[in-house]
Amino acid sequence: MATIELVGVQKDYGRGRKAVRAVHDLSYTIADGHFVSLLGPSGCGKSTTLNMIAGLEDITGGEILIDGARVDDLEPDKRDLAFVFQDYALYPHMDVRDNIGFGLRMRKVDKAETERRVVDAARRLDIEHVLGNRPRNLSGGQRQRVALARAIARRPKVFLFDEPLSNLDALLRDQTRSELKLLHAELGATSVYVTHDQEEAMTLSDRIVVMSRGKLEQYGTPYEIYHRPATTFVASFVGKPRMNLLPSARVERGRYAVGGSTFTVDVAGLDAEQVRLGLRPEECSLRRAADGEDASGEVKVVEPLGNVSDVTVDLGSALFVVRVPGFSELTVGDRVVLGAERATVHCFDPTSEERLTGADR
Amino acid sequence: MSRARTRLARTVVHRVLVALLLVYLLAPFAWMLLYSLYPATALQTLTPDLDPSQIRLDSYAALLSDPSFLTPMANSAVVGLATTVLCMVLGSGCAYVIARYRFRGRSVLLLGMLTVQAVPVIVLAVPLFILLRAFGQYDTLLGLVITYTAFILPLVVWMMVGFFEELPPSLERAAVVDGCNRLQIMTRIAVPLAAPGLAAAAVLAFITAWSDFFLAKVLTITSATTLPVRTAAFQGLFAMDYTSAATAGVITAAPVLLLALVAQKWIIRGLVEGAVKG
Amino acid sequence: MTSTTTSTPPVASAPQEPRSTGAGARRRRLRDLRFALLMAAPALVVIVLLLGYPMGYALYVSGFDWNDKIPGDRPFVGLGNYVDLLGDGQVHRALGRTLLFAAVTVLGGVGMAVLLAVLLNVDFRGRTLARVLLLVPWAVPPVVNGIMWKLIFDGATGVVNAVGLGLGLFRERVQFLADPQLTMNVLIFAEMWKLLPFLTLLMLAGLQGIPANVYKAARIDGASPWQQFVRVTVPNLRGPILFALVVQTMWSLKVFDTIFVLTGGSGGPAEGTTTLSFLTYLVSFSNLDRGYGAAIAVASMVLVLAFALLWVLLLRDRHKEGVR
Repeated sequence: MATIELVGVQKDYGRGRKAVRAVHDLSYTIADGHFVSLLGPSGCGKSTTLNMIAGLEDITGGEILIDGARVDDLEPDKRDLAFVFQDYALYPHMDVRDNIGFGLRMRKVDKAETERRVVDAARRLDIEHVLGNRPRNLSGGQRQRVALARAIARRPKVFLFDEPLSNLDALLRDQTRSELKLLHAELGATSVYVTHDQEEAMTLSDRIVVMSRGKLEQYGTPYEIYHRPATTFVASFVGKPRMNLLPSARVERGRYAVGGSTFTVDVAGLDAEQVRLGLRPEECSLRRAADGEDASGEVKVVEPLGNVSDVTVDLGSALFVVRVPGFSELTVGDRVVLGAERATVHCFDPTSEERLTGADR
Repeated sequence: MSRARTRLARTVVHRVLVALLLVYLLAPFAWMLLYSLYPATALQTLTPDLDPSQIRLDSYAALLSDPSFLTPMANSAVVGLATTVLCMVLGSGCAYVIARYRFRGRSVLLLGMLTVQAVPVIVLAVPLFILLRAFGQYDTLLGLVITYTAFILPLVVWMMVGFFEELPPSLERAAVVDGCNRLQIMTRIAVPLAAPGLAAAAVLAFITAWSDFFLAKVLTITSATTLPVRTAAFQGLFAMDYTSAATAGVITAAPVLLLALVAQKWIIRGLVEGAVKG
Repeated sequence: MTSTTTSTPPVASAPQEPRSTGAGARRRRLRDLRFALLMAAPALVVIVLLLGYPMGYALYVSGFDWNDKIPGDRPFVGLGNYVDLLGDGQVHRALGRTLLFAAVTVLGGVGMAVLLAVLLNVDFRGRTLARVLLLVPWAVPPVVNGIMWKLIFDGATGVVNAVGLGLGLFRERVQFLADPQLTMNVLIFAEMWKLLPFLTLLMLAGLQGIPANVYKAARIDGASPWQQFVRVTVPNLRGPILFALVVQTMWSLKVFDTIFVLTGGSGGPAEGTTTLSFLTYLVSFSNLDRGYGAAIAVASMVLVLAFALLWVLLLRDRHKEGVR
C-alpha cells in the first residue's frame, strides 16, 4: 500500500541552452489505493511522468516520494512497483510461466513461492491453460493478460500502466477495461494509468490528472473534471462531442451573446465584459424556428449516430454543435433556435483560459 | 485473350531466365565437383563421359590421408572456430553498448567500423608480419586467430549493432523493472533475443576466417598454414594436377557452403537487411 | 491552474538552476559508463592494436627507402616514394588495370544486380530456392573460385575450349590464361560470378521495401513496366544502390586471392592482371621493397576512400528525398 507524492517534478531533455523542458513543475499526491489516470494528448508528458515514477527516466528537478520516502535516486527494481507496457514487452524467448515469474526469480523468491504466485496470477486472469506457451502463440488479448499477470504476481505496492489497452481492438478493449476495474477493486493497490482515451480515464479512475504540454491542467475526480473543468483545455479535451467553447461578449448585465451571434445565455455572478463560454452539446436543445421568429442560426450538418444525432448549427460567426435525441427530422438549411436552459454554463477567462468560478452555482 | 497471352509469354521468358541464372550460379562449382570425381580425360571433351561407374574417390582418399593436407585442414578448423568465438565474445558487448547507449562519437565509431573495410589487407601485411614476429607469433595459430579477429570484428560489430537496435526498448525496460542489472539485461534479454542475428554474424565470421588466403599466406609458412593456402599450392605456375586441385577445392569450399546453406535465412537477413536500413 | 495560451511555446524558458540531481542518479550514470567501457573496450583495443597500429606503421615505413634485399641503410626519404610512384610506368599500368577492373565489376555488378533482383522479385515457385542458391557463389572461398575458373578456362584442358572447338566456334585452342587481355577478362568474369549474388540480395531486400501499392498506383497512372522500373524501382533503390557502390568499390579495389590463384601467383601473363593491390604484393614480398610497397598501398587506400566519398556525394542528396 502506498502513497505517491510528486513535488515540483521536472524533466529536461538535453543540456544547457538546448535543453527542452518536457515536464514542468508537477506537484500532486496520489492517495493510497487510488486508481489515478494521467490523461492528455500525445506528447503532453504523461508517459514521461510515468517513467519517472518508475525510475526508467531520471528526474531533472523536484522529488518523488513513495510512502514518504524519497525514491528518485533508487533503481526501478528497488521501488517495489510493476509496470504494464503498451506493447506488453513480453519476453519472446520465455514461455508465459517464465514471463510471469521472471521478476520474482530476479528477486530470488524461492521456487515454490514463485510457482504459487504465478499460478495464482494466471488463475485470476484466466490464462492458466497457456502457461506453457510462448507469447508469439497467444492472441492479443491473451498477451495483454500475461502482461497484467506478470505485474500482479510481483505483488508490488504500486502498479503503473502505460496505455495498456491501446493495442487491443475496440470490443476487447471495453471488456478488458471492466476487468481492469474489477481487478483494482480486488487488489486495492495504488495504480497510475497513462492514457489518451478520456473514456478509459473516466471509467477507471478515482482521480484524473489532465496534462498538456508538460504541464498539469487539472487534478480531480472524474466528476470534477467533467463538470468543473479548470481550464479551456480540460473543457475541450474531456467530453464527446467536444464542448462548444466560444468567445462571448456581454450584451446586458448577466447575459452574454455566444460567439457574437444572436444566441444569448444567462450567466449570473460575472462581471467581465468578454468571456469564453463553454456549453456541452448534450445539454443544449434545438427546435425549428417558427415563421417570423428570430432564428439563432441554420443547420449545417446532421450526423445521426442512432440513439442521438449531432447537429452542427451555423451561428453566422461560429459553429455550434447540439446533440439531440434519436434521428433528427432537421435537414440542412433549416432555421433553428438554440436553447441552453438545462445547460451548465462554463465560463473561462479569455486570456488566462482559466475557469471563472464566480459563475459556478 | 491477348492479355492472357502476353502474360503467359512473359511468364515463360521469366522462367527461362531464372533457369539460366540457376545454371550460371551452380555450373562452375558443379563442374569442379565432377572434376574431383571423374578422370580428367573423361571431362576434357565436347561430350563428357559421365558414366557413374567411372566415379573415383581416389583423390579424396589420397588427400584425406595426406598429413600435409590434413594439418592445414585442422589448422583452418581451429582458427575458424577460435576466431568466431572471440569475435562473438568481444563483438557482442561492444555492439550492445553502441546500440544502446548514446554517447558522443557514436556515429563516427560506427562509420569507422565500416570504413575499416576499405583498408586493403596488403597495406597491413608487412607491419603485421613484423609485429607478429616480434611477439613470437609468426606462423602460429594464435597469431592468425588474433589477426583475423581484428579484421573481422568491425564487420561483426557493425552487423550486430543493427540487430540490437531492432529489439524493442520496452523489453529492456521491463527487465529493469523486473530487477535485472545491466549485464543481466544484456545476457538474459538482449543476447537471446538477438540470437538469430548474432548467429548470422558468427557464420559470417567463420566463413571469412576460413576463406582467407592472403593473411595466412603472409603470416604463416609451415606449421600454422591453412587450407586455402594449401589448396592454392596445387596451382603451380605451369603444371597443375587438375583432379587433386579440384578435390582440394571441393574440400575447402564444402564446410562454408554447407554452413551458408544451413544458415541461409539468418545470413540473408543479417548481411543484407542491416545494410539496406543503414 | 497553469494556463496554456497558444502563445506559450512548448519549449519553456531555460531551466532555472541545474538541480543537483540525486546522488543515486549520478551513481547510476557512473555505473552505466563503467559497464559501457568494460563491454566495448576489449573489442576496440584489439581493433586499434591490430589495425590502427599497422596502419600507422605502414604510413611510417612508406617514408623510408626500405628494401630488405639490400642490407644496411634505410634512409628516410619523406615523400620520395610517393614522388617515385607518380612517375612509375608500372604503377600507372596497374592503376589503369585496377580502374578498368573496378569500373566493370562495380558499375556492371550493381547494374546486373538490379536486373537480377527484379527477375527474382517476381512471385514464383522456387523463388526461395533461387535466393538460397545465390549464396553458393558468395560462400565459395576466393581461392576455390580461382581454381574453378581455371578448370573451365584452361588453355589446354578447359571445358570452354573443348566446347568451342567441338562446336566449331574456335578455329584453334584459345589460350585464355596466356594472353594478358583475355586473362583480365577471365578474372573479371570470375569475380563477377562471386560478387553478383551479394549485390543481388542487397537489391532484393531493397525491392521488398517498396510497397506494392506504389506499383498499383503507377499502373493506374499509366506507367509501362519500363517506366515503372525507371520511375519507381530505381529511385526507391537509391539507398541500397549507394551502399552497394561504396562496398563493392572497396572490395573491387582490394581483389587479390583470385588473381593469385588464377595466375599462379604471378599477376601475369605479362603483368596483365597486376592490379594495384597485386603490385603492392609483388613489390613488398617479391622485391622485398617494403617502403615502396607501403607507399603504393597507402596510395591505393586513399583511392578507395576517395571513391567511397565520391559515391556518397553523388547519391546522397537525392537519396535523402527518396524513400529511406
